[in-house]
Amino acid sequence: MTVIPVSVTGGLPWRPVLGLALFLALWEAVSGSGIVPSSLLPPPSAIPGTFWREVMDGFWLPAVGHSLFHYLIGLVIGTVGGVALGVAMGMSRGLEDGLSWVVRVLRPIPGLAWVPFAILWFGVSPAAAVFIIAIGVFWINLFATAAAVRAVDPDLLELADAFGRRGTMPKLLPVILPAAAPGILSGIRTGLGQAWMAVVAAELFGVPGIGQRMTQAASLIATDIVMVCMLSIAALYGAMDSLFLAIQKRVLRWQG
Amino acid sequence: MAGLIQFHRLGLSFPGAERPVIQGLDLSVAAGEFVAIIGTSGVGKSTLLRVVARLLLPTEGTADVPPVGDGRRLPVAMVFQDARLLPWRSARANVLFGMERLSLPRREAEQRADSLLDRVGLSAHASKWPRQLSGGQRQRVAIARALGVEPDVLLMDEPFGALDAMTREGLQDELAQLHRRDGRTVLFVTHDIEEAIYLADRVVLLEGAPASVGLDIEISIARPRRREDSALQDLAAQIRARLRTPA
Repeated sequence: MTVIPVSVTGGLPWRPVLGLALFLALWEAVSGSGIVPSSLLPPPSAIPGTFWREVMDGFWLPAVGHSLFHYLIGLVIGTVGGVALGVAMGMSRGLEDGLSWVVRVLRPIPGLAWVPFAILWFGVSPAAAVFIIAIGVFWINLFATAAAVRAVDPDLLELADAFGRRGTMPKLLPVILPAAAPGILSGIRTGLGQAWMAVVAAELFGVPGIGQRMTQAASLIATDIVMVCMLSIAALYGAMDSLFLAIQKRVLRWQG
Repeated sequence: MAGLIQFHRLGLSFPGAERPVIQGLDLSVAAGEFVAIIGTSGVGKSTLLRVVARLLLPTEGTADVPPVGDGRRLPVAMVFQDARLLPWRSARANVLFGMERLSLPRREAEQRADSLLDRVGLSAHASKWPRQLSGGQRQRVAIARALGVEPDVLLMDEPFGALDAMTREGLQDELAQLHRRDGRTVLFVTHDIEEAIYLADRVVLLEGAPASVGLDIEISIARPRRREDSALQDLAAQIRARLRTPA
């Protein structure tokens, strides 16, 4: 029998590392071969130096700081709003019916389509960026939460009734929210990624942050700086997602 | 003597259903009695328990069932076939769930939960998640949760139906002991005729569509009972014959 090692316990998983190394090597080769001008596709070997310059010249940290601020505030507002309304819609058929057409009209409108209104209402300001991020995150959480609440096992609701928790509100904290938690947390996690996409979009129109820095760099064909911004977003998202996964695992530890 | 639970000409229909589930059902259960309710699948046994638990309201006749609790105890508690433990709570926290609506000091509730887990032999498993418990252990936790509210009436809806034979017999013996010790009124729904006769003071057969009481038998076999007792087996055979050829 042949045993194929998937990863070495305690060490780096070799397949993902190999995949990443091959990707970087291919990128470097394409960029260095002259097939694509390096001004359009900077080689990965140039990225660390550019990153260091961005940090030392005082561009990177403020841009990341601004973006994180927009991201976190927008994420919190969109998540809290989406989860709260999603819980209410999931628990109340009347509310769900009442809002169904409003939701049907507003849901397909992409976050970017709100940019004109964001500028009109808030000006080119952090509040406008926060608004666009919150809108994008709101819908994801609304639908994930409403679906999770509607899917709560009716047997558990009957159990709560049998033990004196008659009506919806007495069941909310001890039964409905914990039972719906896996679905709600999945929605929040999707929102974490969606919010980063919205950050860039929201800052492209001039609000300070990584998106604005990318626009400036692109207009000067400084693609290495654009790449640094893109990888910064990827790294920040990765860090956020890893942190959230750890929290999610802890909250849902009962699932094993 | 008036029973603790009394149904008079009880009827129950679900909205939109062609005919009632139960109609013209008369039944009286005295305090401390252990009554087993048997009948074919879907006849209305579980529906009857839900009327006692006030989860369903009768649409005809009257149902005198214990009133809503006084804050320190619930008069009626239910054990379901599938245990229905909250998967995000430990065994101990599941037992506490039943008591959380009562105005009990936290410390007293915790002591009661620990004592009940000890009584059902699960002290060592108190901090485990439901997924870490066997089917029999989960059902023990469900029984402890029901006893935690100190009910006058314990409703058991096929509580051992999903368990293997060995576990089922063990839990039947534990339930018989609990009933002897507490003298609590028990309404026990089961498909298993031997189980009904082994445990109950009375066996009530629900039959017909809509259902009513077809047979109400006082079990006079002395306790403690043995499963292989010929009187028990004979009675089971008679009931089984009746089930095959309803009146």
